[in-house]
Amino acid sequence: MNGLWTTSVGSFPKPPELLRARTEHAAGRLSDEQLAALERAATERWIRFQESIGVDVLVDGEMYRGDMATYFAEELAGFEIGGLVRSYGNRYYRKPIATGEVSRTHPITVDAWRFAQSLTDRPVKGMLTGPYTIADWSFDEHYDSRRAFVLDLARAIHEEALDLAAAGARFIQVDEPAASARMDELPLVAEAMAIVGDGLEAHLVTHICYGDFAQAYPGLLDIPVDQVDLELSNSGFELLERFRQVPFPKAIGLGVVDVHSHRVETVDEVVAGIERALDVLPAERVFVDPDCGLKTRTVEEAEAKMRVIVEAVRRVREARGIGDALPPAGPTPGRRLGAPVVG
Amino acid sequence: MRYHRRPGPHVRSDVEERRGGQPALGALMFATLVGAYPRTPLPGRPFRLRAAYGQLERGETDAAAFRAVQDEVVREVVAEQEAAGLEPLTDGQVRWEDAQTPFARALDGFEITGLLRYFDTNTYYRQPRAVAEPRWTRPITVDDWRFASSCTERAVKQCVTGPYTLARLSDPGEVGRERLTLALAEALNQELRALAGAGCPLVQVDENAAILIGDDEAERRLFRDAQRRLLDGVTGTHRSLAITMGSAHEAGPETIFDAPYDSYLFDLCAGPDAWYLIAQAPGERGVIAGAVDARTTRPDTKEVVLWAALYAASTQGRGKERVGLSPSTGLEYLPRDRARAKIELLGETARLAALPAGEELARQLDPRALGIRAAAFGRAMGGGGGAGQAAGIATVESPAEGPVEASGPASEEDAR
Repeated sequence: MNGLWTTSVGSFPKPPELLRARTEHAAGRLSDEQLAALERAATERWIRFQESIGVDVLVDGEMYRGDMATYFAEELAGFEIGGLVRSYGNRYYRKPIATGEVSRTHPITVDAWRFAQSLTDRPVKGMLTGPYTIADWSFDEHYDSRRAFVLDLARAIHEEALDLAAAGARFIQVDEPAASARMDELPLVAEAMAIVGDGLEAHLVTHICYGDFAQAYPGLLDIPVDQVDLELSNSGFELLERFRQVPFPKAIGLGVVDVHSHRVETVDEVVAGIERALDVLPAERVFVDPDCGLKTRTVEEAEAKMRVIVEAVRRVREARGIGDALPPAGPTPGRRLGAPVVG
Repeated sequence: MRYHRRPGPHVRSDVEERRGGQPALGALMFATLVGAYPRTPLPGRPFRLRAAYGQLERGETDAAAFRAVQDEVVREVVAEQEAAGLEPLTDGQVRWEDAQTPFARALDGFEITGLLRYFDTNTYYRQPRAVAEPRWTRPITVDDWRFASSCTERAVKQCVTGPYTLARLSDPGEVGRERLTLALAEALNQELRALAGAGCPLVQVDENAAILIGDDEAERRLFRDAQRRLLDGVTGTHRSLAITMGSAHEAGPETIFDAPYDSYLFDLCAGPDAWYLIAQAPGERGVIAGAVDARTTRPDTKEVVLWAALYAASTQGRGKERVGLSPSTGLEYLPRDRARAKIELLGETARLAALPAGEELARQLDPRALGIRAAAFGRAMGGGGGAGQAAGIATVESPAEGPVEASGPASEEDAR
């Protein structure tokens, strides 16, 4: 049996020299080419790090992105980028404003993915922000309905996903962190994801975080993806109890370290979390990763948390005789499995 | 522009009493923030607060120097509200990490844990975890209120996150939510008393979690008990209850209006349901209509906002002197320039609402406002025309008569 593949949710912290360079670039003191060279160097650094510790499915770390919604809005037709708004603490982002019909005019992430994949033989995930989240985290001054806005975005992200798959991406993750905020709109999230994943020959993942998952479950299973990536560490793995009542039929991304804590979890803690999960989930449908992107941690903290995850998985695999051969790419039966029909 | 010098409703007379009993100015509308205002700079200006915060985190500056930068932002935010014609003012909550942390940090009995999303927004708060029954040991917001108050001649209100919301957004741990809620009510009662004692003319209790009460009798009872304990013995200040991020209409008027608050602020942009509460709010209590949408950059329509104010005035014999205008929730979800445009519209609309019906008002309204009520409720309006009818919107001062009362959501069925 193979399973418990290690991966990351997407972002890693930008090294200090890249952060300084981004400031210089914003001030016009550094050229696009100079910044891009530093972004590539930082990407290579994170690819090498993940390879060196033995991560199974790699990410490029998003060295070239700021906010995850704004990054896409900047590249799509129909958006303007507004002023700063705060998300928490001292973190701010430029919230996009839809002022016209949204559409994709060119590939957005494909070159960056190609570059990252060229550095390694291990699979690198294609990383996209989901249509519902881009819409929810933007202001809308154009559309008459949220649905129309979300579905136009879904068509744009679908085109991007197809291009990533055509370029060779075996794993494509479409992040929908906003999906857990309004339970009554989960059907819209699912409708949009069906458009994104239509005909997509890749392992389609969605990442959802910061929500009341106990309430969202099992409704979130209706999102047509192969894998749902959830933060479980932040909520003390409480959701696992719900899986006892309603089994989880898709592959899962199991968040096992808290990305908002400076404290680095011990290997024993993470092993305990994985073991709890394996009580209710089969290893061959479990990917293990942090709760969310690690970009808010320092480089040292992020590396330490990733090392702990990989070591914990190594111990559990060894104890249970689980191999690390990757699952085949492409749609799984789980993509079509939704919430059970009651009554 | 005399009305700029005094806050509205009921608020006004309370404030004047606190100031030594100056005479009331008469029946004039007022406009106020819900509480939060962007701490970001206007376009093209340096973002000193963010830089100072970073320096503080890196140990490159001390707390006093950081507070001095925060003081500057408060002065700016207060001045911006003044210029827009608002009163009472707030400090924009620019010192708060979020609406929970300052209270959880200052009360005994909490630890601060991981980030959670705040309602349906893309902003986050650190979830407090109760490790013991919370206890109030020192004033939490009084110094901040004093500072903001020192920046202006106008009245400044202080927001306090209410016990029901603070408990509901916390991990109650072993304490349990009911015990936690009631203990918080008693702890925050001390805070309200401290604010009143310091001379704060208006204390606003923010209970956004009231939108989650629904028809659960146990939750309704807990909310009522908490509000009564919270207000117990709190006198000498205007006590206002604010519920935003949705509507608490499902909790019912018996729950929302049980405690002796002097006024209520409701979010009217999350949906029409909060009108049900406004229609039922006791007529001797004030109402602040959260009619300017704080969650979108789309410009609001002055005529619609004006209509909301006047309709609120027409309910339960309330009259204009007990009605104010506000954004639908805190304005921190908007970029600074858009937030400023929103408060300018609020101030302007409050000024218009205070005008007697007549030619001047008609001149200042879009003649197309003729169909405003229809636009707001999706109905066709018959007859009438032009600026004359637009001015007619402003004639509704009596609750029992007038075209607005006749066609507005006067019953629960209409409001839903």
